[in-house]
Order: sequence, then C-alpha cells, then structure tokens
Amino acid sequence: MQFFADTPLLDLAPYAGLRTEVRAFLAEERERAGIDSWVGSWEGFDRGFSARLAERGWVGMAIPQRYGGHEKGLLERYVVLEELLAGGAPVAAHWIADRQTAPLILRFGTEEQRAWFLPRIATTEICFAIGMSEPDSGSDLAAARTRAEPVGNGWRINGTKVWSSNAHRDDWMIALCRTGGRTGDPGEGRPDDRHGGLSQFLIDLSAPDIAIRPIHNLAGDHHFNEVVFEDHDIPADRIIGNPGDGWRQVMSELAFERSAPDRFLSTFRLIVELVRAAGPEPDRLAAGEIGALVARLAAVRLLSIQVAGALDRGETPNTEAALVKEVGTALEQDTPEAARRILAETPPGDRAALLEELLAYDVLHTPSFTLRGGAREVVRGIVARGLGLR
Amino acid sequence: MSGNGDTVAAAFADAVRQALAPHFAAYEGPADRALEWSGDHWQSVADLGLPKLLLPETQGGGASLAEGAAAVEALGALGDPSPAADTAVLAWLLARQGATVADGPLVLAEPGCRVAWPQIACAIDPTGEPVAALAADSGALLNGVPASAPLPGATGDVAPFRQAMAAARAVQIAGAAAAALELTIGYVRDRSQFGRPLARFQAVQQHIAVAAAEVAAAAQIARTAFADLDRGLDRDDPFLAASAKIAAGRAGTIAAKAAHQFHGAMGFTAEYPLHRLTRAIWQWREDFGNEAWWSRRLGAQVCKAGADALWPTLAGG
Repeated sequence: MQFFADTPLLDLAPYAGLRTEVRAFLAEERERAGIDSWVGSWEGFDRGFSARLAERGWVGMAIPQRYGGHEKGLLERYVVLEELLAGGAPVAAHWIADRQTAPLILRFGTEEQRAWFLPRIATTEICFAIGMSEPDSGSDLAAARTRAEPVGNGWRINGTKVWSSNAHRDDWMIALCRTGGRTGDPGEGRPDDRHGGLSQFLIDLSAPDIAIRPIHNLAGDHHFNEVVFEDHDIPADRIIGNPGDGWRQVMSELAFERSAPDRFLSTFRLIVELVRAAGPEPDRLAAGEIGALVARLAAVRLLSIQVAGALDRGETPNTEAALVKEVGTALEQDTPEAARRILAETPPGDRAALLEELLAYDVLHTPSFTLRGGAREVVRGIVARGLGLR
Repeated sequence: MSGNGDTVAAAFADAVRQALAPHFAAYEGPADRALEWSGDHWQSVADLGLPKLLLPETQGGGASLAEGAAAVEALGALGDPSPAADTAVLAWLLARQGATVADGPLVLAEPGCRVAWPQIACAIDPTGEPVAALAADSGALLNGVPASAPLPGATGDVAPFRQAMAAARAVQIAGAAAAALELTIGYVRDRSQFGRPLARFQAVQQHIAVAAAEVAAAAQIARTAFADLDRGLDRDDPFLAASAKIAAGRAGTIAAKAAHQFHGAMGFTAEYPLHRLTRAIWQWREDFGNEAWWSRRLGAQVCKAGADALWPTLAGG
C-alpha cells in the first residue's frame, strides 16, 4: 500500500527564481488593490488580475507554443500555482480553463478546437465554467440527464446544469451531456451502461437562449448558478472527442482538479495571520496548534508535488489525486477550528480586522471544502477502489 | 502504485524484506515478556550491510540517504524491533562528526530517556562516547524491546541526534503503518460477515481510505526529511524532521486504530501478527519526541521566523 515509494523525490529548487518573480508580482498587485492580504482564496474573480498574470506568461504554461501557450512542464507550472494560492490571489477567472479545460482540449479536442480555444485561454480572453452537476446528478455524475440530440448540422441541447461557479461571468462551459442510451443514438451507450453514451460539449454562454440564474451561497456570495438549456442548438464541431467518450474524458479532467494545491491551500492565509498574531514568542497552545497545522501542510504538499510529477509523465494518478484531496481538505476544515482554539488565548494583534475576516470567511466556507471537486465520500470511494477494496 | 518499480531503492527494500522476514520467528514469544535478542537476525542485518549502509563506500557503505530511507521503510514495514535503523543512522552521524564507528548495534542514550537493548547494543551519548553499561531492569518498551531505566538528567543537547532519529522513526512508522493497512485490506477482503466480505461495506472502505491517505502523505514527508538530513543538520534546521515526525505519528495512530478496528478481536490477540506492527508504531511515535513535543517546537520555530517567512520555509526558498 505504498504510494510513490519508488519515485525519486522531485526537486523544485530550479524554479527558485520563478518563485521570486511571482511573489514580486503579487506584492505589486496587493499594492494596486490597496490591501495587506486577499480574503476569499482562489474564489476571487478578477479578469484584470488574470489578464496581467497572462501577460507575464503565467497562464497556459502547459499549453504548447503552437497553440499560444508557453510549453512549460507541469512542475514549473505547479510552482506558479502554489505561489498564487499561498498568496491568496484572486485566480478564479482563469483557473478552471487553465487547470482542466486546456488539458482536456489539448488531449481530446480536434485540431480546429485546439487552434481556436487554447490561445484564447492562454491570454485569458475566454473564461470557462464547469458543466457537470445537475439537479439530480451530483456525486453520481453518471446520472446526468442533459441531452444532446443530433439535429441537422449540429446538436440540440436540453437540460439543466447546477453549481456552475461563475457561469454568469464566464464565456464558455464544458457540458457533460447524454448522447446515447437509445437505439440508433451516437455513442455506444446502452440503457444499462451508465458510463457509456456520455459526451462533452463546448457551449458558448453568450447565447441569448441560455438562462443563467444565480444561486447565492450561505455567505451571501454569488458564485453558483443554474444554467438552463431549452432547445439550444450548437454546431457539430463543438463536441469534444468521440460521442460516448465523455465519461473517460471527465475522469481524466478530475485528476487535475483533485490533486492541485487548491485542495490544501484554501485556508493558508489564515495560518499566516495566526502566526503573526502569535508573535515571535507564542504560548504553548498556539505553538502546538500552529506546529501541527504546518506539519500536515508540509506533508500533503509533498504528496501533491508527486502527483504533479506523475501527471507530468503522462500518467493518470486518479487514486493518488484522491489521497491529496482527502488529507488536504481535512486540513482545510481543521484550520478554522485550530484558529478558534488559538484565539481563545492569543490576542489577535495588529491585523485583528484581517484575521477576523479570514476566520469568518473560512468558517462560512468550510462546508464547501469537502464538496467541491467531488464529495469526500466519493473521493474516499476512489481511494478504496485503488486499494482493492471495491 | 505499489512497490513494482525496478529502482535501486525498491530492489534494496525487497532484499531487506526477504532476508529478514524469516528471522522474525525469533522475536515471537509470550507477548508479556521482553523480546530476546536474536543473534541470527542481527547477523542477517549485518550481512545485508545495513549497519554501515550510510557510511562512505570506503567504510563499507555508499548508499545515499534516499536509498537509506527505502531500507529504513522496509525495516519499518517488518516492524523490525532490532536497532538496525538506529545503527545505520547513528553510524552515519558519528562518521559525519569525524568519530570512529565501532562494529555492532548502536542506540542513542538520551538523558531523561530509557535506552533500548541495554547490554546488547552500544549506547552512545551525543559526543559518540559509549555510556557505561546499563541495566535492563526496567521491563520492556511498548513493542517488547527491553530497555534500561531512564537515564539521569534532563534532555541535554542532543539536538542533531534527536533530529536524525526523529526522521528515521518517521520513516519506520510510515513503513509499519502501510504494512498494517495492507494486512487489514487482505483481512477485510477475506473475512465475511452478514453474508459478504467486510471490504464490501462502505463504512469499512471509507475508514481505511482515510487512514491510507494520511499514511501516503506522511510517508512522502518522512522520506523527504530523511533524504534531506545532511542539509537539515548543516543548517541546524529541524523543520522537515519535525514535520515528518508529527505527520507520521498522526498517520500511524490513525492507521493502527483502523487496522485493529477491522481485525476485530483477532487483531487483539498475541498470536496474530498485527501487534508487531501496531506496538512498533505506538513505541516509535514516542521515541525522540512525540507529536505534541515536536508540534510545540515546530510552531515556536515558525513563529520565531515570522508570518512572512512561513511560505518560503514550506516551499524551500
């Protein structure tokens, strides 16, 4: 039951210079925004920030140069990602496209799709939303009912997607739709084959016949949306890959979504401010709590880097990505609780307002940490399958 | 995903398992009595070159610290109660300080602590000087290893030794915890209750998955801390060793709990081999600073360096 026991430890030291550049960029951006720290981790949506990041060459790093990208390795890209997340930068505008849409199109898309979409992702000209969940299909993704029927020279989409973060601000969505399941349907799916007959489509969200309705979360924020398609027609060339390959494609997408540093750095700014409040001579309780958090963070980060290395080698480390998500999100959920124990004894210090804001944000968003990217129980099920328990 | 690579480290770990596993019968005895030293087992340890593994090639070693981590992890996966890992690490540390290294098993004598294998192993203090003969009148450690009474004096300046041994114990715990979970996975696949294998119950699957994830993360930082010992000691920086010991202690605790829960009463018997692993975990998590001890020190180190140094410390620059 060992993971990566035979894989050499990866060295990110060659990218030290790059780290310094990203940190300097973030310092400039904080100054521009007039803040000490961002609050809201990677859920902050700021097209201006994303565009300036792209100008520096830090979006589309893994996209080949012929498609407008920077053709860097996934480890070099990892360094930029973790620097952005550790800084709490507002990366939501370009995050989905850069993290999972670009690799998906690169791997399964047509030449025309690559040539049109990838350069625009690299400049952040177009932003992507995820179209996986539906009212009756959450953790059970294979229960998706949104249908794409072949009509004339294209596809007709009917159905509803939910929890699509930032769909009201994004330009495109990748929607998982059912194309099979009936006699003569495209794709090989049969009614008893839940994973067959699913396909992925590129949907232009600016179309006037798509209804995008807000769903506010318990903190009052508008990230989520309900996206309704009623006889929405799209051209034939908007399907990604072959009809019926959607399930396999979506699973490969999720390996990117589950192992990245966004699965353990969401509460990092709170840890930083706790250290500041505790001061150079912390009491025993604060020291012990901070030490325990930092140790867990250091551990999951190294596991996550190993997964990045596996992805870089072209492997599909689904089990390993799930391990990262399990320990990482558990740490994220434990962070505000540790903060409450520390702040029961330690005065909040000079940045009391910021600390309070970060803690409030993290407490209110705690439920989402073990839901987004796949519910905790589903993720544990993937680990269990990898261990031979299912 | 598991040890199927052809790397030098993996091959070496296999060799350790194959050579030592047959000798473990010698360590099986009444669970309420201290283990008896097995000369045959130690001979195999020596034949494998483990005691001098990390010394320079001219002195019979030549393995890198990364390769050493694989060997130590294999020892952990066996629940090896001998001071094989201790000897390899202490010999390396002594050689690093320019001291001569004697043959035979070595253990660390820390002021205020009990010393394992008195009368068998050579107990050294942090200067490398042997400590006068120790009496084994204090019963056994949690894993059955005989130990001396606590040494007089408070914990002295043994920082480099403690740092290195903490990293070693973290690697051993990672090995033992993974082995305990492997044993558990095999058991729940075989054992049927309510008409189906235990492995088919989601409650069982989920609990084991949680433990496996903690162990995977701990193993990663333990190997890294061990491979990085030279640099960590040069800079007098215990960050990785401390993090590894905390993460491994936590993961080992979670894995041992899960392993026993799903083995039921069988796993609680002296006869079933699970306790060799779980008792080892319970002892090793205490050795050279437990999670609470290291957490306070790591937290103090982090706070002293300041909030804005935290990320550069984690990122290694």
